[in-house]
Amino acid sequence: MPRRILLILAAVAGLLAQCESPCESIIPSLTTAIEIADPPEVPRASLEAVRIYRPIPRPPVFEIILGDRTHKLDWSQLVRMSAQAGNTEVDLVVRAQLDEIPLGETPPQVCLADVSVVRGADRAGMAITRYVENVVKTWCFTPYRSGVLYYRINLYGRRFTVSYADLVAPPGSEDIGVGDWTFRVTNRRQYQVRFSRGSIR
Amino acid sequence: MKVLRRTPNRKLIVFPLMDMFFILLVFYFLVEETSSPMGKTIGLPQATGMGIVHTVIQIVGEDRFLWLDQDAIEQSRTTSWSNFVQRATIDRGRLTEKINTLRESLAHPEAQMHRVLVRCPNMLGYGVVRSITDQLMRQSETEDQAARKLNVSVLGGSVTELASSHGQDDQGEYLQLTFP
Repeated sequence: MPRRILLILAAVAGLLAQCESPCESIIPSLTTAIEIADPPEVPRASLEAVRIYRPIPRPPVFEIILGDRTHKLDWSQLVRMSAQAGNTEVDLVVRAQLDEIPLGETPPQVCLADVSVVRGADRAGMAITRYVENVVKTWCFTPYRSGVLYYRINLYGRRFTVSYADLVAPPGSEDIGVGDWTFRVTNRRQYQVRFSRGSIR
Repeated sequence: MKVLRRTPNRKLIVFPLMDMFFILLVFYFLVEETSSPMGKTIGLPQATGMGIVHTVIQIVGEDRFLWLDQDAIEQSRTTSWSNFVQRATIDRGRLTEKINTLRESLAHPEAQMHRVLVRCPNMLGYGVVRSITDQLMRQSETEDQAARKLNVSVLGGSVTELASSHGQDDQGEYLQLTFP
């Protein structure tokens, strides 16, 4: 009989605690709580309507190792200059020398020397030739190879080709290669940057 | 012969039942107080309202597709929508070229996420949609970078149900496609 009274009292106490307590008391679980973050609100397709935005145009440029003195080859400016010169079919080949690294020296980067336009200068005009030479002179590279580099800038075909066929690795050093791939720089129009093992002279 | 008779003094014993009832009641209160609330409400993204995509591929027929991207903003402005749809409809070969160009541009290390919406009329089989999504998302050693940057959604609907309008807001100029 006392056991039954105890049970009744416990039940009544529990009932009163449920009714009267203004807030819940929760005994923390022994397991670690897992925090589930809300999915981020990213733009997505919809069932009702979609919008296609025109991207904010940025001038397409080609960058090598960016430094304080590095200039970018601004394609839009080339197009403007060629339009002013009345020749939209600019096709330049630039030759540049990457000097050999002396043994025992490992500079972080080497810049191009003896930069000159070797083809197309007569048709492109002096202004474009000077502009391209001045820009290319400021490009620097990590010194894995040395030798002669060729750049071909074809405005009509919207193509920028880098030929590294004549670059050689220093003797005794590990040659990591320079890859062989092509990609497009997309900016409303498409400009193809092609890295070529073959010569473009 | 043994005759069974009802004993008049047999009673229903209710006290053990009462014990069980109170034990269960106490157990219920204890469990109720110690258990933490189950589940968590997560604000799921809504698929209604205005969506933003970069490219819409509207399937017109088995071998006819409408490719709508940023270039369509300008091209559709100068002519009526029906004329634009007629002129901009391409075949399977041209669609493959456009998909390859898109994937090449997405292989660039600095390329951003690109959202593609594929719409297919209900009368066409899902195989047509699958052929396009497979082309878009195909994996290979050199192109998996592109597949990772593609977000492809599929929706039902025909080209005749597309309504277009142009506008501009703080994000720039846009072409709006509504699916009534």
